[in-house]
Amino acid sequence: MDSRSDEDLMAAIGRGDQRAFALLAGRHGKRATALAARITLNRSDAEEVVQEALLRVWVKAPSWRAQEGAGDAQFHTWFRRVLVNLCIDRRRRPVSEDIEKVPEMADDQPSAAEQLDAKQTAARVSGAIAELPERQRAALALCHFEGATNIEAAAILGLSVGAVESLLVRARRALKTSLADLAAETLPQVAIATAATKSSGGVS
Amino acid sequence: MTPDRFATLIDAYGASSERWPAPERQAALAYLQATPAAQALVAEAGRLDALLDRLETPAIEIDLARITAVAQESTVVAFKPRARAWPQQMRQWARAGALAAAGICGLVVGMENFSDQAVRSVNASTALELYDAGQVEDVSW
Repeated sequence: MDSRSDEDLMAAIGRGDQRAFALLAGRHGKRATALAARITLNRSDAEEVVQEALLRVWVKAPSWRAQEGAGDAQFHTWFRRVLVNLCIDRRRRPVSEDIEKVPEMADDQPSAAEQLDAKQTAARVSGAIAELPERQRAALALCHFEGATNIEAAAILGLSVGAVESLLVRARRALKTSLADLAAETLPQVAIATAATKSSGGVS
Repeated sequence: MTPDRFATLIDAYGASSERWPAPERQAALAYLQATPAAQALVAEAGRLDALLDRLETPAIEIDLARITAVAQESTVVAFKPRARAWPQQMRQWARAGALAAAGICGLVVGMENFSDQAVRSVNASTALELYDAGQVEDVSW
């Protein structure tokens, strides 16, 4: 396994190293596609956006200048910024077929009735997310699903931390309203850090 | 940690303390432990988290080999950004124009001695919707 950092791979790609490009694309492609799918809610758009973002990696590499001390976070942030901007630029509404297909429910081999329930719930949740404006959806995708910190999300979206927080508040309030009936029937998911872990988390 | 700040944290980041901003996490946890009202807020937010967390990661396979091949055939010269990606200078002018227009709107409304609260409310909410949809770059209140 190639243990070179993202920054080293960018430098190699800048010198025309095709293997380095394939490695970097493989390293980030899957998560990038998941993020793009969560924002575009459209399978073909997600594929195209990732393809275009990866092409920009190839194009950008010769002039890539890593900032000292920034480490791999610099490439990762830049790449996600390109990706999210491409997603927002699409400004397309997803078709209902894709809304149901893209995010699928977690499945522990439930019964047919449970599968139907789960599918209907998934469609409702996906539909509510699809109704969010693009920036709210992007902020939610980054902070809730991708595990980005508010600082990372702000850098990716080109906004202040406060603006990201406002987007998240508006997004979650809208979802809470549109999914109120489902939420009332759902057991809360609450993960509170213990004393041992609460100060060691990476979220900033 | 104030009640308002805690409510905003939960509104923005949900019930899982792992998603809360690290600099505020300990204070928020202490407040949560000591405040029944805070526990109710977290429980309510946890219901939405539970719905969101039941969605699996989208399973889409991308053809990395094809993308790699396409990229390797491309060159810096051949690559052109999409038409909608305006040059930076045009974006700045558009942004300045939008801000100027917003300022004029604010001036007009201000000259009416804030007599038409409904118009101001509609303007503000419309601007916010456009911003959230990524159709304007900034909103100046």
